[in-house]
Amino acid sequence: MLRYTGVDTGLGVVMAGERQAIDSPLMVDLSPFPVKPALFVMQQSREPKGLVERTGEGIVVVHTPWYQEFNIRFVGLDGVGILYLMPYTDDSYLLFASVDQTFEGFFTYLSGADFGDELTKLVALQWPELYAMLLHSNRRSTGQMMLFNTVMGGRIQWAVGRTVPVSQEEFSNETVLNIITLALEVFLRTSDAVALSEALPGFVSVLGGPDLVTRRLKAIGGLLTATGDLGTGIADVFQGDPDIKGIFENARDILQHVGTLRKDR
Amino acid sequence: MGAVSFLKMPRSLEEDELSFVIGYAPHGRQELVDDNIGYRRSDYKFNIEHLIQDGWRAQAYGVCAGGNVFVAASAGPLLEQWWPLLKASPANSTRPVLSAAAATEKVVMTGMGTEVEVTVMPSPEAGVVLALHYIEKANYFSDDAVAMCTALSLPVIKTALLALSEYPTLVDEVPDTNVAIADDDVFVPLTTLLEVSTEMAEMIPWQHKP
Repeated sequence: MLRYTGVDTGLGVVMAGERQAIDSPLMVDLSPFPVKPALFVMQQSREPKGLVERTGEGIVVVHTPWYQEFNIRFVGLDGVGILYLMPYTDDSYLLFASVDQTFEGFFTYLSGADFGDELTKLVALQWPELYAMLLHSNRRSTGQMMLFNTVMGGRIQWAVGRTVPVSQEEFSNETVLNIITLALEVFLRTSDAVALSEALPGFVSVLGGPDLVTRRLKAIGGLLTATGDLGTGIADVFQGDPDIKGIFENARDILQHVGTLRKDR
Repeated sequence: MGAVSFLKMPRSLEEDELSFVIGYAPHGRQELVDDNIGYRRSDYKFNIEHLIQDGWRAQAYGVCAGGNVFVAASAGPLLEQWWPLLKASPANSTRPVLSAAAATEKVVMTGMGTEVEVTVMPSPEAGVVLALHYIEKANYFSDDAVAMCTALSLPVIKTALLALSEYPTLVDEVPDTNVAIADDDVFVPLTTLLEVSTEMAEMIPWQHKP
């Protein structure tokens, strides 16, 4: 017998607690093309090369036949935001930011048979924005924020973004900040066991208690611990030895900064 | 170099076969070798394969199409997808061959006391970028046309190699991917291919005249 818990996520009341509603995210596959993996949404520094166009507003656009990469410098902050614009259908593009593989560990549990239903219900209740992004991804919704997969340079990565119509010639700051903010939130809340348990009260008990949570998350290998163990996700996309603690701090600063910008608009 | 006749070349080339400018490993097909150059043909085309070393070949082909004879070399599909962006971008001194080609200017190659104009252009039907030089108006390959194609294959090959070696200027980072270079059976990393194209270009004693 199914337990019904109705959650209004703005999509009408949906059956929460059913992992099948969110376990088949959209996948955008660029495998046939010679592209490199998407860059993580935030870079500590960046000097792009190639077919580069510099605009006057601190934005550098890198053009390729398959996508445009927007490098957005944060004034007064140590960091560059990265957004991608990619043809999707005949009448739409995808505008997105990559969180690389940092969401994979948590998604494995969210979509898995052992804890998926309980975790999905928890996400729907405690983090409805994330639940909506996964639901829209599953449904391939247009114009709605999604959390989906990209395959670029032989790497399956996670992205936060939405479709935009090809007739649209510019993007509002609101849209840009929204995507970057959501991407950073996904990264910060799901890449740290402590942050995850804060974002999802009840998360630890669903997975069987603190020791089991830590062991399970480490076993997946896709999450970073608060002490800075390197997962496969972030380390590869930064050149040299990444300062993980610095990355978290910068991400939180930028998140606060862009959040302030959003409120001002 | 002795005179090579088109009809004496073995007919071991498929009509729609378009050899990449860089070849590697024996293809196992029958060929006529003259002065370290391998020849094989179809009805309207013949390959000119300069045997370099260690199995590497620098390849061009003579083609008779629409009442004209050309000698051409294929720089492969890598640059073809970039063409619209190249045409929309300003000239860049780090990619002189591609900049000239995108501006529909001929690439001038100098060597052996002469200059040869080479056209670099995409071939959307074949999905590749070609470097080519017009030989003569004709409906068949005379011995003289074969000799001209052979003699001018080197500046055409070098132009294709130079175009290819300018690819890194288009990207932030050369992607870590493999590309096929021989009948889709032989794959090499793209970075290796670009190194080989630069080295092979340096071995050819023709120069790009800016």
